[in-house]
Amino acid sequence: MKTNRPDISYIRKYLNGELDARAMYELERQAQDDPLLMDLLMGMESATETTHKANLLAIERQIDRRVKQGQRKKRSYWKFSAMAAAILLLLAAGSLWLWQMPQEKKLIVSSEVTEDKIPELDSPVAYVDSPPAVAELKKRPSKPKSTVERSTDDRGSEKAKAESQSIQIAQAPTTVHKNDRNEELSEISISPSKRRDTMSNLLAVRGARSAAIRAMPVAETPLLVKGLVVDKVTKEPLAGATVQSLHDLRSASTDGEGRFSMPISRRDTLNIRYIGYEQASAVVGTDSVMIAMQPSSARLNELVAAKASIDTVETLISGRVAGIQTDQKPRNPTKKPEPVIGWDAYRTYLQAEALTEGDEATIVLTFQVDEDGTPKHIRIANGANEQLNKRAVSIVTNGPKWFVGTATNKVEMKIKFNKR
Amino acid sequence: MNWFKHSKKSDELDDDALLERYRQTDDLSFLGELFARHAEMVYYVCFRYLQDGERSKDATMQIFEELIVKVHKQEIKRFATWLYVLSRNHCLMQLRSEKKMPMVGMDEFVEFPLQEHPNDPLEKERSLSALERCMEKLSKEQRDSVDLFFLNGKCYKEIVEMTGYSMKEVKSYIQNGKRNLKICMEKHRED
Repeated sequence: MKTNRPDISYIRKYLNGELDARAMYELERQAQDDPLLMDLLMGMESATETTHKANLLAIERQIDRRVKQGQRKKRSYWKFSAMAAAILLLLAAGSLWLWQMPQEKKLIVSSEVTEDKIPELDSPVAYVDSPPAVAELKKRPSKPKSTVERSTDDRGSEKAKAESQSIQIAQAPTTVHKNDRNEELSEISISPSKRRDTMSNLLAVRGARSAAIRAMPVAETPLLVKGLVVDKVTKEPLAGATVQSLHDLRSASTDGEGRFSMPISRRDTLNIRYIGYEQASAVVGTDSVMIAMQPSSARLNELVAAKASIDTVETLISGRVAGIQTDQKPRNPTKKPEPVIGWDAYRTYLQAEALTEGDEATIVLTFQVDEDGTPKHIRIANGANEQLNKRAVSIVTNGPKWFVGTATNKVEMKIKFNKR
Repeated sequence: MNWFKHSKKSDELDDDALLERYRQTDDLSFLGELFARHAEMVYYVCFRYLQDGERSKDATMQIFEELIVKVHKQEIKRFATWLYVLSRNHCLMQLRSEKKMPMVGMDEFVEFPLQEHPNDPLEKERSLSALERCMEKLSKEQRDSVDLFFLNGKCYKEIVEMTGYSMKEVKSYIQNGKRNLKICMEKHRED
């Protein structure tokens, strides 16, 4: 049965030039009729033997690991049922607690959810840890939630948290304003920002979780609010943003990781300003807050910005913020990749390079921008002749680097070849 | 019933036997061993399409996962061939989902071979003359390369030495010449 396996070592000999002309021809001719052989040949000659060897070794190890994992999974089946039971228990406890909440609070929560026009997870510019979460913390001060959570580090509990989170997020700042509760306060700190590709809802969940973990009830102290200011689109922390309390006009600015802390009076409203961004405000009921700043756009006023869906905003802001970010990494606040030198300069570059002796032609090509900002996997979508196709590929390859986009790293581009 | 499981004997089992054993026992070690035998092939096929080591590694493991699921659902006659088709489709799907367009240039997919000569002598005569006419229509480079390779049995290296074209050029002349020939022959048959 092993005979129908292609002889890879023989192909290796062929590639190393160890075969005579006759044998080489035989193999080449056979490959013309055998797609498997042809694919093997082309795959093998696409990189050096050492590269392949390293990769194959890695694959071997991965298969091994996967096989062992599979066996372990099978044997420890009972563990899963135990975990499932634990999750169920936790959920039951959670719903019991929800039932015992004072009637008034329940009403408020539900009315907020229904009246709110923006329950979309990532749309509010600012959101605040919800009162229910705080209430929960108060309920069992002796037994912090963190221990419960750590012991069942599992998707089920994650889900349960996400549920409670959706209630939190649905609270728009304006509605929070109306309630006057949260008599007792606890000290909560929020985690530093996560990577920029993290979805904002994920961020919110994680922020709230880490807040819950570190929760320690401290009653009757002046509220020290800790917060995090991030770019709404890229989720990058914003350093040096000004945070001002509308109540006593005290202000603070964010540190290098976009964090700030300042004492505030209860139910204060914070105003956050940062060059290149829309002014944002957040009503602070608890002591941790995350503010997602909207990159500024002339066409959006503050109120609109707060409610605009992320899509419409993104089309308006293209590239405006790039100038004020001074990180070393190529960074790009827009969805799509763009040339580091900017589109105008890039177009000039193309015009200078894309010249031909022959007829004019337009080539459409696509590529991906890798992490270094280099175009990779360039493909001709709509080509002219082979020579021009190759030229187009080399123009892109040897051209300026790119900013990676936040939503995609793929680019589709037209190159027009003019007569020299 | 698993007494073969860790013995050396499984090394000597052929693909079909390993497959059968996995189906009976659900013990992943059998399928892992079977896949490991062919992993090199799968990886090279992936590399041919994806042209990237990391992606090919990932794809190979994804294909293994796919295999785990599909092995129970499909009848497999010749495992190596079946796995090849699975791998190729996986990579093509991956490429297609990235962009709804095929690659061109040197990455062009291999076309399948020319029609074998039919048995009927009259047909054979006709297709031979069609072949001749179509050969005339090819560019000189393509004609030379196709002629030397398919009709004179020269290997790529010899053709490079004889014509002075580069290896890359020879390969692409043969591929493109072959495709053009095929198109031309099909047209003739319709006429």
